[in-house]
Amino acid sequence: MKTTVRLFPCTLLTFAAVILSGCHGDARQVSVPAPSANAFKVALLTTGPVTDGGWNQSAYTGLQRIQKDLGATVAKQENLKPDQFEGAFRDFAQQGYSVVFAHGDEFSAAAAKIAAQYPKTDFVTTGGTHTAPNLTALHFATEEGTYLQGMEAAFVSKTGKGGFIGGQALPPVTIAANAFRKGANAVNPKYAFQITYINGWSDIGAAKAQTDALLSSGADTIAHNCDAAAAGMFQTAGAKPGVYTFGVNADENAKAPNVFSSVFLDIPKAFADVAATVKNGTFHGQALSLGLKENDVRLIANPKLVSVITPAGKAKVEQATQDIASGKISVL
Amino acid sequence: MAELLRQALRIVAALLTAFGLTFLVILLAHQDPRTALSALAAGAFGSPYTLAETLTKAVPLLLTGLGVAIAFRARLWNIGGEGQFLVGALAASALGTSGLKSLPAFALIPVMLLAGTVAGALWAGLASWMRTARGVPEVISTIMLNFIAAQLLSYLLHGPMQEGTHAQPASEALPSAATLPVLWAGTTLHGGVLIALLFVGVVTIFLFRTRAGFALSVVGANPEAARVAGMDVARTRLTTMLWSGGLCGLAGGIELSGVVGTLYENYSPGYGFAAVAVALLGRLSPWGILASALFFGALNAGSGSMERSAGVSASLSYVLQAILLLVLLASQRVRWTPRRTVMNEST
Repeated sequence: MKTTVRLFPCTLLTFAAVILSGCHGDARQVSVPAPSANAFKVALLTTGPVTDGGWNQSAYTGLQRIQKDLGATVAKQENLKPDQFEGAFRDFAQQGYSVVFAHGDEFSAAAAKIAAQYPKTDFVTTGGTHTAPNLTALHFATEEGTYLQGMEAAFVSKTGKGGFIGGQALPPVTIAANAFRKGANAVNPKYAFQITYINGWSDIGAAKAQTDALLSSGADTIAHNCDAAAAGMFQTAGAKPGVYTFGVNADENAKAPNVFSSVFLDIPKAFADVAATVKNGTFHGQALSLGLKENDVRLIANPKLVSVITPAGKAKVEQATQDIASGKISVL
Repeated sequence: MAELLRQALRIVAALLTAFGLTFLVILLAHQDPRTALSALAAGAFGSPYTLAETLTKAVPLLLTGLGVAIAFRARLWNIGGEGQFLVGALAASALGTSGLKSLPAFALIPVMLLAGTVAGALWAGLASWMRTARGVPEVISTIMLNFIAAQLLSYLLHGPMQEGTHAQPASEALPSAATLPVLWAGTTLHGGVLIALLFVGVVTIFLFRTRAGFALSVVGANPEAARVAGMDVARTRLTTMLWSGGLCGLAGGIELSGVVGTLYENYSPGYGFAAVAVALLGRLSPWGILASALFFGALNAGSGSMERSAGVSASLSYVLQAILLLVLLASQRVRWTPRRTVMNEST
């Protein structure tokens, strides 16, 4: 009984606060309009936080652009685990969402399953292999950019060694890592490139530890594809003199003093383009590949470090950019 | 009767406090708490679909909660529910995608679930053996075995058990004969819910109506007395851990067969750890655990909806769960605190 008695003042206090706050509740009730059945509603699903400054954030930027430019009602769910994928798709479809963007290769199978059950909602997965009349798989050819970064790395590396920290060994990640190696070896066949994975996308400590391991093995050019966890890589390798890091997915050139370049995926633009087709009724599910040629994947150099690479090297990278776009070089 | 009333009052007061605090936290995050909490309720009970979702999400929590509770009753701190859950799922997946997959569902599913149970039991048995043979406390060995199980899973998914195209770090999807039937058309409610409910009864009988269950509580209360009374303490502990791990392994198998169908890295979103909370909230009693598993299942189902419909971010839903847990536990006082003597003695 004692405990109960002691808890009551606490309960009363919080309830007083609740009642008081309730008085102001209407003033702040702005973010959740009750959408009508035929409103243009767009949802986003991500496997990580939308504040990762990279992969997931750029998708969220895309969602915000859709809200602003197309007047859509938007919602999102972040940090999803695979057992939640189907439930999230289904819930948005049941709520009558026009299109659900699922930002990652991992969503593909669940999207295919739910797309078949909810033909009135369109689905878009970034990466993935399944398509249907209402399901588009949007592929960003990150590997075209990482191939160029690999060339750069081989040009600026003193030790001829590099490393890569990936989140999980999913196809888009392994392909991008292999393209980095292929690009580097095109410049310096002896360039040694270690590929490691941290089994997740947000463990900064794990990325730090891997970076330390890579640095101690002599690697002086370090790339990543591990989203939010990359903060650990930039913190550890970013301060080391003579070391260069490489950004991916977003313009990460400001994340450390030594970020040499970033492979920028124009996810916001691509999302807004696809959402516009949904809105005007011309959406049809397909496998859509966007790369250097479409200008949806771009290599953004860090202006402070461009002088590190020789003009001859720079010219070779530029030539390769054109050759990849025209199909003369295969990065796979 | 007075004791029961006291219990009820305590829990009601704790729940009210927890929801009040949650309300404040949501307010501090500049969200509308009423919209958020009503979205939470709608996501847990609002429609047949969400109700089924709540039940489905309660299944792994219920089974792992029961498993952990059995060990805790014997004062064996099995923190390894996570690892036992994973090896259970691994065993079920290995059999469900093996040559046996041509078996009809009524044979294949029991074989898979049995394999999951045995695997989980053996994984926990390993910890028990280390205690008996080398005096390693379960609290340490079971935690370590969690990591080993997670790495084993990762290795197998990149190697021997990887799906045919060798692209994804995931297992082959289970054939439909290996999938637990859906009980309620149009929802995710699968047959595993009946198995889980059955085990509430089984565990009740085991704990309160069998010699082994009695021995378990005596060993938990006072191992010296149990020894003097002629009980085989080591054996009782082994039996207890086998039950505990078996239930967690069964949960892994059921979740695979009923919900996910494919194994992948980080397969468990922490059921083995949530189980500790579920078991403690349920005061280590099977029926209490049923209630607390349903409660956490509802929170899990509802928090997703809270983010989708009310825009309250996922991290806030974890804050909510943590507050609820802390307040509820505080209200129970720390009756489950381990006795120092048990933690230190090594037999």
